[in-house]
Amino acid sequence: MAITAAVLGALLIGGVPSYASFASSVNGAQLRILSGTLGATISAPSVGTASIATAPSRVVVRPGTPGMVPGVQSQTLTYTVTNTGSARAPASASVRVLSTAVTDAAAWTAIRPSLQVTARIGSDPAVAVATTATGIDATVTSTAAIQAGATTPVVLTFTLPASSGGVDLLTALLPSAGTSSGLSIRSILAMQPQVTLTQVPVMAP
Amino acid sequence: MIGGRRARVAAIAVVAAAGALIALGTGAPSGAYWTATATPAPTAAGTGQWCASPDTTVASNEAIKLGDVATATGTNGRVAIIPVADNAAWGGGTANGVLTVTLWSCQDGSIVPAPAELANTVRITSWQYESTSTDRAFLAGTTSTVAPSSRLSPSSTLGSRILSLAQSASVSQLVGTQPLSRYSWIVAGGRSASAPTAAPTASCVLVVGLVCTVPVTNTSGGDDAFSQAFDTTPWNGSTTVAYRAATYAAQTPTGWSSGGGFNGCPSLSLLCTPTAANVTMTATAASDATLYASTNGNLLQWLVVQWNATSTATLTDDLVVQVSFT
Repeated sequence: MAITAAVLGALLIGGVPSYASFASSVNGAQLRILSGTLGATISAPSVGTASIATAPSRVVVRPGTPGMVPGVQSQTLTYTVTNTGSARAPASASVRVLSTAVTDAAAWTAIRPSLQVTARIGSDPAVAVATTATGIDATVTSTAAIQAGATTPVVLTFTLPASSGGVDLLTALLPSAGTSSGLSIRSILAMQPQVTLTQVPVMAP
Repeated sequence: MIGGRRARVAAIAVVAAAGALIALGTGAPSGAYWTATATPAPTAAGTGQWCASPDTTVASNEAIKLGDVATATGTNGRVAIIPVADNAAWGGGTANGVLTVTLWSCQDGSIVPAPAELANTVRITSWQYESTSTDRAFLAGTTSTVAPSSRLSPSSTLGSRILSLAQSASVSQLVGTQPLSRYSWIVAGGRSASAPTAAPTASCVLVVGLVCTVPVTNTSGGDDAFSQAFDTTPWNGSTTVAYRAATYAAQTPTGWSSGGGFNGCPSLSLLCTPTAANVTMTATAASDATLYASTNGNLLQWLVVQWNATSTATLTDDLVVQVSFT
């Protein structure tokens, strides 16, 4: 019986294990081995901007304004993702870049042909995200492992060029240009990305 | 047997330890992996707040920086005389439309660059040929195009006559002369940002024939032609004012009246108050030579953009004059 148990142990060490738990029939006893628990949290985003270029002399940008300004600044949404799992559950992240609503249909139609959206997970390079007439729904994945208790940033960046197809977007996209209602911030999409952490395989010592 | 049972316990312990060390192995694991998903509350993405004037560096643009109106007409006076037609070079050519000048600015309130009085010394008018004038003879054989980039020299025969009219305080129409029938006011005749559609009063009196006098003035004193409503503190307001050209000249389907008549007034009127009408440009694909030879004010207009100041003014790049047909 001791020889059988030893062989069984050797097979387990050198074979292709697949289960998070197994049972041994030795003496009828049942052994369960757990690989750990996995949990994820995501913060509310930090809303920021990233400079593209100095505004031309014909343009005045309101200091500190959030949101895209064509050719001048991008808008960024930075989320913090935390692996709240146990010590034996490092994980990789995938992000479903999802808009739950188009809140300004006319503006979305106007900007979509020129809009550039990217998603970046941790230190991975930013990945371009496609848009559709109804918004954004695309998934970006990363293979980098996030240890239990560690965090990683997820950054969504929205950018408009100064001109596109011969059209000066700085004047074409002026909200309320020529009217008396002011040059206001326009919320165009409601973004609600979904982050999924998946357990990373661990090499046996 | 105690020795045998101890050996079985040891074997089980070895197996259990081996199992505990192996969570998953190399190659292609099968079976279940832990996953966890998290979703934050929705957050808005969109555009911020900025003000912009058209990019006048675009070659095909019908927008002109006020600072590029640089030809001197005297101390601190500047002028540009520009041929305008509803053609492809001017961004038109597909539909008739009223000659319109839109002033853009991102300045706070009145024009900020010194001197302050520049705010109310901007004047934009347009003029049509006299039907019997030989002034335009010099244009024969010209390679100049009817386009935003073209300029008529104010020292040329035609240019000096147009400039003289455009700089006057008023124009009077006498029998046999036609200055008034050539005159269209755009940013002139007392118009301003708060009154962009005003028409200057035509004072008419019967002398030998009907004589009408119409002011050719700047914007109203104390007011300005650019948007007054834009403020940077607080951030609010509009940035453009559109002025549509109007005239007392009698316009016919085939062209402006060669007899110098007033709109709504027969030529032998004893007393009449002329009626202002929009200057409707006819969409055209005519050649530049044809346009320059035309006496039809609906085909070709000479746009005069001028400003004056008491000292040298430095105009910022956001002050832009844009021509269109609306």
